[in-house]
Amino acid sequence: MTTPDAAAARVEVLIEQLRAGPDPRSALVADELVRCLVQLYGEGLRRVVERLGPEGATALCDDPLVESLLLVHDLHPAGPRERITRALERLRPRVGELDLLGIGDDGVVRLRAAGSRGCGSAQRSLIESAVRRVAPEAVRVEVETPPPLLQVTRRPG
Amino acid sequence: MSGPGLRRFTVAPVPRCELCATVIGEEHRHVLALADRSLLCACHPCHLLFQAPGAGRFRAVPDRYLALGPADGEALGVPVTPAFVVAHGEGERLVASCPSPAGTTECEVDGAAWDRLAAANPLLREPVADVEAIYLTGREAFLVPVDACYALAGAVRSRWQGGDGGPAVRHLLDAFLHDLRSRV
Repeated sequence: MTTPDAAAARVEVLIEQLRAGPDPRSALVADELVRCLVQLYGEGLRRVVERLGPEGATALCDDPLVESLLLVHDLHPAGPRERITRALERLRPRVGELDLLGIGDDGVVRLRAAGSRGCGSAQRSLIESAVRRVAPEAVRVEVETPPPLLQVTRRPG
Repeated sequence: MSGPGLRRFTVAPVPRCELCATVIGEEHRHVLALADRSLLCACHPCHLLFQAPGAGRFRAVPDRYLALGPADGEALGVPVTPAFVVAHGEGERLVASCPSPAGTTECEVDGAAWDRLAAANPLLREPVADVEAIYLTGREAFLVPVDACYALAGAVRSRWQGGDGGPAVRHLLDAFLHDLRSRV
């Protein structure tokens, strides 16, 4: 199934090809073409969501593709706090306890990982991509971790 | 960038150099493409690159403003003032453009009349061909960069009302002249 992310990746590859070509100006034209259509369809979606009202819009979000399109255009019926909290709940079995500390006016999402499983870089990127998926307006995701406990392991061998 | 993926297309574009596609600020310089006399937004290095005289297809637009003293636009046969006079090519024809609801209306300036005017005021020979213009208010002349002329012509076209442009256009022209006087 196609997704907005896959479509965006394809668009960026094509625009990059034009930018590297003999006339880089064509990349700017292509950029403007995409902008024209994305904004037109965005305006259409905005009117659809407006007509459906909050309940109808929430029902639309049952379809993951439609939900991600609503996110692209800032039309999702749930606010970022609600979306992020729900995403953290889904992550809990894999990364442990996570709290949303806040979303700054600067677009920085601050989280606290309290779980005993620590927070390695792989987990960090897992958390970050989960947050970005439901809150593309996030500029940065910061994860606070408690100071590491002294780990006692058996000497190998 | 307003966020990942398609979101960047939902907002106004980040200004980029039209020669090398580098991201540039809202405040930037321009380069004139001689083939179709179109202005391209340029980053500082690209602008520098085309400052050398006779540099091929593109020419950097300078940013100097000068008061050139008195000049009688009517003696040139330019029908409307204000008007911009630009030399198309070195020692080639002079073209006067008048801002109008259709963009700019162009007419060729009578060479002999121009020579008489320039004999009285040698400063009129100062502008660099293609990229600098003489702005004629009717009584005075100013040297201005062509990108400023294009910007004024665009603003006039979008605000034109009725037969003579209306108060919005008069206000625009007054503000432009005021700005000119503060820069020279």
